[in-house]
Amino acid sequence: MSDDVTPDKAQSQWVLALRRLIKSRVALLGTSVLIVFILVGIFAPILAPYNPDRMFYGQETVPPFSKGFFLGTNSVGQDVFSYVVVGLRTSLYVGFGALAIEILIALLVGGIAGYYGGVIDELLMRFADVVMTIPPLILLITAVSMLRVRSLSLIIFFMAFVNWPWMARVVRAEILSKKEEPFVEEGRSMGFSKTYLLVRYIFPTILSPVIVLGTLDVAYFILYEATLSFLGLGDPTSISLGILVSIGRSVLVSAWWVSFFPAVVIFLLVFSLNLMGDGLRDALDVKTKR
Amino acid sequence: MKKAYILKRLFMVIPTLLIATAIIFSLLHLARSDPIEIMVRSSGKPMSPEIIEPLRARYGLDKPLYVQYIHWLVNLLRGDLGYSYVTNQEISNILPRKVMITLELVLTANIISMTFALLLGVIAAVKKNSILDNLLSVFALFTYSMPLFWVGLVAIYLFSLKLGLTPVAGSFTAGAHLEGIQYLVDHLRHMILPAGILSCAYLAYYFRLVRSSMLDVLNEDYIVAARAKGLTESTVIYKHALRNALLPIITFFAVSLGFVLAGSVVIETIFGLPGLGRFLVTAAFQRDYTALLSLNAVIVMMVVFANLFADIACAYADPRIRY
Repeated sequence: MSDDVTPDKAQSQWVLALRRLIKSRVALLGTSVLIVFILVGIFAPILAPYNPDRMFYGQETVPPFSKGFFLGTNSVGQDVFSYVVVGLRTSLYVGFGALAIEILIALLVGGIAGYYGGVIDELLMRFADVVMTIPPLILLITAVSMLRVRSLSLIIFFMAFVNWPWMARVVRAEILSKKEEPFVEEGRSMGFSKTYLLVRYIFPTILSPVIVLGTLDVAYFILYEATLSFLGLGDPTSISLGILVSIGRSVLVSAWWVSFFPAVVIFLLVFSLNLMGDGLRDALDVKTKR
Repeated sequence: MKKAYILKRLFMVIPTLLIATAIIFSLLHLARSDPIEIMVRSSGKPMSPEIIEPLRARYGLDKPLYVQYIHWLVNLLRGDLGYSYVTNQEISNILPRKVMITLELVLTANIISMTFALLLGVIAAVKKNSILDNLLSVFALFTYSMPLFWVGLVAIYLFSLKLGLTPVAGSFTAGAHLEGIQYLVDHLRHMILPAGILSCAYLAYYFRLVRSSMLDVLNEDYIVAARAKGLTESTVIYKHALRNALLPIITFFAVSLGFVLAGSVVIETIFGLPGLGRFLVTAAFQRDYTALLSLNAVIVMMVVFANLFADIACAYADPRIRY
C-alpha cells in the first residue's frame, strides 16, 4: 500500500492552482495580508508590550501615538495595541479551530453519505437540510445562552455544529462525481477496502472545493465570534476584538480609537480571507474557470 | 404533475419542522439553567424544594423530555407559545408586534437591495472585467467583509451624533404621543438608518450572487446559439440569460433568509428596535428558555416557508422541474 498507487493527478492539480493563484494579484494580496496576520497572531505574546488585561490606573482613554501606548488605551486603561494583537490571535484560533472541527464533521457525514449512498445518504442529507433551516447566528446565540460557562472552546464547537451542513453537501456531491472514476475503479480492483479508497483515493481529489469553502467559512467564524462577543454573549474571559469594540461603544465620541482599531483588524482579516477565498475559487473551480 | 410536486413539497414541511424544533428543544435542554430556578430567583423567594417541586409539576417539567416536547408541540399547534418565566408574560401576546418590526425592517431592506443587486449584478456580469465591474465587485467585497455591528456604530456616530439627522435609537419618539401622519414620519425617521445599513449589507451579498449566477449562464452554449441566431444583445441578456439566471437567484434569496435575520439581530440590538432580533438577544441574556424556544420555532417556520415558496416559484418558472 505504498504511495505510488495513489494517483498523482492531485499533485499536478495543486501546482496548476498555485500558479493561477499567484497570477491573480488580488488573491495574492489577500493571502499575503493573511500570512502577516497569522505571523502576528503566532508571535502575539512577544509583540504585545503589555498583558492586555492589565489596567493602567489614571491612564484611561489615552489617545493613540502617545508615549508608551501606540494605539492609545481604552476606558478602563487597557493598552489597545496589546489587546488588538492578542485579540487577533483569539480570532485566528476561533476561525481555524472551528474550521478544523467543521471539516472533520463534513468529511465524515458527507463522505459516508456520498460513498455509501442509499438510506444512509438519504437520512444524513435530510438531517443536514433540517439543520440548514435554522439560521446559524440565531442557533448559535440560542445554544451559547444556555451554557453555564461560556468557554471559547464550546463556542468553537457550536460554530462548527451550526455550519457543517453546507460543507457536507459539497463533499457529498464531489464524492458522488468521483467515486465511479477510473482511478477509483483501479483501486477497487486491487481489493482495497471502502474506507481506504475513500481516504486515500477520493479525499485528496475533492480537497479543492473544501479549501475554497473553508477559507470563506473561517471569515464567517471570525465574524460570528466577534458579533457574539460584541453582543456580550461570547466568552467573557477571552481577549476578543468584539469585546474591545463593545467597550469602545460607550466612548464612541470621546475615544473613537478604542472601537476603531479592533474593528479595522476584524475587517482586514475577513476581507483578506474573502479575497483569498474568491481567488482560490477562480484558481481551483473548473466551473468559473471557463 | 406540478400539483403532485407541490403536494410532495408541502408534505416535506412537516418532518422538517418536527426535527428542527426537536433539535432546538434538545439543545436548550443540554445545558440549560432550570427555568423554575430562574423564576423563583427573580421572585426573590427562597430556593426550597417545597416551593420548587410543586411549580415544576405544575409546568410539567418533572416529566420525561419527550413528553415535555410533545406537550410543547401540542400547545404550539393551538397557537400557545408558552409563558415566559422571566418577563411573566404570554409569549403569544408579545411576539406579533416584534415580528412586525422585524418584517418591516427586513422586507424594506430586501426590496431595496434586491432591486439594486439585480440591476448592478447584470451590468457587472455583462461587462465582466471592465472598470465598472471591478469597482462594483471590490465595493461589494469591501461591504460584505465589514463587521455589521461596527457599521452600525459608525452610522450612529456620523448621522445621529455628529450630523443630528436621525434619532439614536428606538422605533418612535418615546412620550411624544404622535398620531396619524406625524407618527408615520417620526417612525420612518427612526427606521431609515437601520434599514439603510441593512440594505447596503444585503446588497453586497446579493450582488455577488446575481453576478456569479449571470456569469455562469452567460457561459452556456444556448447563449452562444442565441447570439449566433443574430438576436439583439438586449434580447440575449434579458430574455435568454436573465430568465435562466433567475432560478438560482430565487433559491438563493430564500436560503439567505437566515443571513438576513442574523443581520437584523445585530442592527436591532444596536438601534434599540423592539423586534425579534433584540428579543432574542435579551432572552439569551436572561436565559428565558420559553422565549428562546418559541422564537427559534417562529424563525424556523419563516425559513421553511420561504424555502417552500421559492421551490414552488421555481417549479412554475422552470418547466424542467417535474417529479
